[in-house]
Amino acid sequence: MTGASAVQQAVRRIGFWEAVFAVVLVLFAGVTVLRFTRGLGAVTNLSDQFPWGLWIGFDVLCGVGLAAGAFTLTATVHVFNLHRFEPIVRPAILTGFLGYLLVIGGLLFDLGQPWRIWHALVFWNPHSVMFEVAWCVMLYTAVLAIEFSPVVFERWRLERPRRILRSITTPLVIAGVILSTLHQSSLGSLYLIVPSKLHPLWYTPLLPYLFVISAIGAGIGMTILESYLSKRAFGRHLEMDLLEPLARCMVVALGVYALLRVIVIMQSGAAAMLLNPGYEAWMFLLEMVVGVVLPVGLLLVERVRTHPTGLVVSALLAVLGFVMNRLNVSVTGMEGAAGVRYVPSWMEVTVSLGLVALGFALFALAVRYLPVFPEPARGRSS
Amino acid sequence: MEGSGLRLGSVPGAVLLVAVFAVSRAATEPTPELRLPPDVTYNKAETSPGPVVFSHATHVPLAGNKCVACHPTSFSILQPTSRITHNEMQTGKKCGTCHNGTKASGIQGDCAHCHQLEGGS
Amino acid sequence: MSVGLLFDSTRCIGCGACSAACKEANALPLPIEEHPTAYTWTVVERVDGVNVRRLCFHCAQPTCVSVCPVSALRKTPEGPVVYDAARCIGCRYCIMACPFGVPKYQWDRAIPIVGKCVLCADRVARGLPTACAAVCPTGATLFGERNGLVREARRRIAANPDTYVDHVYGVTEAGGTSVLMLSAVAFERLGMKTDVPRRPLPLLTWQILSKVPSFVGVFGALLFGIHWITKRRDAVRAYEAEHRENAP
Repeated sequence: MTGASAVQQAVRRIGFWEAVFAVVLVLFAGVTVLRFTRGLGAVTNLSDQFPWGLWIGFDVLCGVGLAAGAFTLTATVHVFNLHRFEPIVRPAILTGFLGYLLVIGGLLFDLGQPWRIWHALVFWNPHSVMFEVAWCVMLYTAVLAIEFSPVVFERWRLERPRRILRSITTPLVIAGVILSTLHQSSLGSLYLIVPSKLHPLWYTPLLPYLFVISAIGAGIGMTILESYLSKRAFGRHLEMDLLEPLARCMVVALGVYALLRVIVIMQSGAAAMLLNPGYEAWMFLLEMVVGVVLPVGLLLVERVRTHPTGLVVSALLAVLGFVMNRLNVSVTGMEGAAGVRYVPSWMEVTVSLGLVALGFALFALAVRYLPVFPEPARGRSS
Repeated sequence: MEGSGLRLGSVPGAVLLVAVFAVSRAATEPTPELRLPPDVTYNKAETSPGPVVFSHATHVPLAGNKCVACHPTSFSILQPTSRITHNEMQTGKKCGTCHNGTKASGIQGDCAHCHQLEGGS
Repeated sequence: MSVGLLFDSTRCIGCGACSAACKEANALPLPIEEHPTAYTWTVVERVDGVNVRRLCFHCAQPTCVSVCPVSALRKTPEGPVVYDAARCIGCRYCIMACPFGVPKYQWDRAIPIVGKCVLCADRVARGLPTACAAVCPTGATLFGERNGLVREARRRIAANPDTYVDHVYGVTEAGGTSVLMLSAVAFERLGMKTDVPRRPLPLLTWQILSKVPSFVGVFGALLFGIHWITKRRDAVRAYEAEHRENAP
């Protein structure tokens, strides 16, 4: 048989997504070897003029932000005592936990000497935002692990640990919310130090606040998307009665965010750049339209908001807009001053894709073997 | 004002003006005075016909005032080089980087070219 | 006493002695590259007909020092901003943050570190001048007590107003630097950054970071408060519901 039909047969037997996953993983493994034997220059398009690229802009900034669903939902249930949202807390925590594992994975690739990542534990610099980010990420990943542990204990019927954890739920969740808010904002604070480099359409002393608010919006969006993808993969239904009120919160968050952005650029005078748009202005408009105007506009219409498709599409747009914002802050907004255009190499993209693929795989495994969802998941074999 | 006479006369006049301008510019530009390291004397070794005195003043203009022509590739710039042997030079090191007969005079033949021979030259 | 350098570009002949001495003093690999890299910590570039040295400015309140999460960069009391390669984790925040674009990275190494001028800190500690100043044949690079160098720079401008641009680069930039520069032409023509804020940049993040402890306290109290109130509300509702059921 021909090569093409052999491939087709294999894909049909294994499954399309599984084949994609396998290819990505093989490439990922190869790039990993290259990265650690030849150094960053051999694998990335980073340079002294552009030291931070896709792995920071996407894996760290977006990964952390998108996992904000975990703190948003645990706060909803355990701080605001809205217990009817309980069924979607566990998958949100799992998404958050995996999200942070992937952020750490991305850092292990991006750091020049990742085996020294523990240095922040012993060598301190309280003046450094990066130091705060490192500590908050470490502590919050631990909190997420602890918040997720009841799922594991339940599976292995370990009652005592479960009871102990239940008793510390409130302080644990509150610690998680504080930590998460702190470092969502400090990812934005990272960029406070470059007023002469970051483009005025994104630079503002309010960056930390903007990052927190957009993280809340994106976190809710991710929760909705994760519900939808779980529905497709494991035959679950979309919990519209829970997701619809969450979507309203997302509208509020995005609305406040948009208002702040507009006030900021009008006060700084950067708004004038939108009248004669150059590259950065177009990217700004794209980000705001896709990520804020469209989803908010759609969700304000009740028929859209109460329909699963409308909800999911709006959530997707909000998440895309969030990703665009983080990439605009870290890449687009920094290119002008750097004097170079940065485009990630295919190897950088492979690593990011590979980490995301691993995240999906771990999520599927967790759902298959652990009581993540209230009823036993009846997924098709994958 | 008009007529070829004035036009002919304006050319040397213009040249004179330019010359005066150039000279005046040169006179007011601060010319950095070069503070070169002092001459280095390599004492006579056992088999050497005499000491060698290296002078930066004769070499630097030949290198286009570029210290990097010799430093730090052929010679240390922070520490004076204490010893140079013919063997090293013959393998293209130290003075041999240029004194190979092609870029500059070779090290064979006329010893007095570099060494201060005993009892006069 | 805090030391510094004064670089007068009108006296620089582009001989490269400074880069040669720097390579040797820091045991850096050859060749001397055209532009600064992790292996070439200072070099003279010819820009628009002028010789201009590129090197670290050793700020009074260095941005790189404030952003390094593991304090691998440190401002010494003598003036030099030094780098501890043993601590560095390679996050490259210093490279991203430095308003002058000074620190460079070893992109080609499997075990990379940052490279930048350290103002010959060990020589300075022994009372010696920096290697570059020691060898400069024209005195374009002068080593000395920092404030004295500022006075000398101002004296030169006052004595030769037609020669120099009336600005000593490094007095106000980023809150002041230990390395100062004089030029006959506008500094931006020499490719130097003229948009560096006058306030030291670390203040921009410190104003946020200093609020973290109080934020934790206030926000924590708020969250506990909300939890308590909503729990109480739920408990009251449950109690009332129960009593309505049991009402005769």
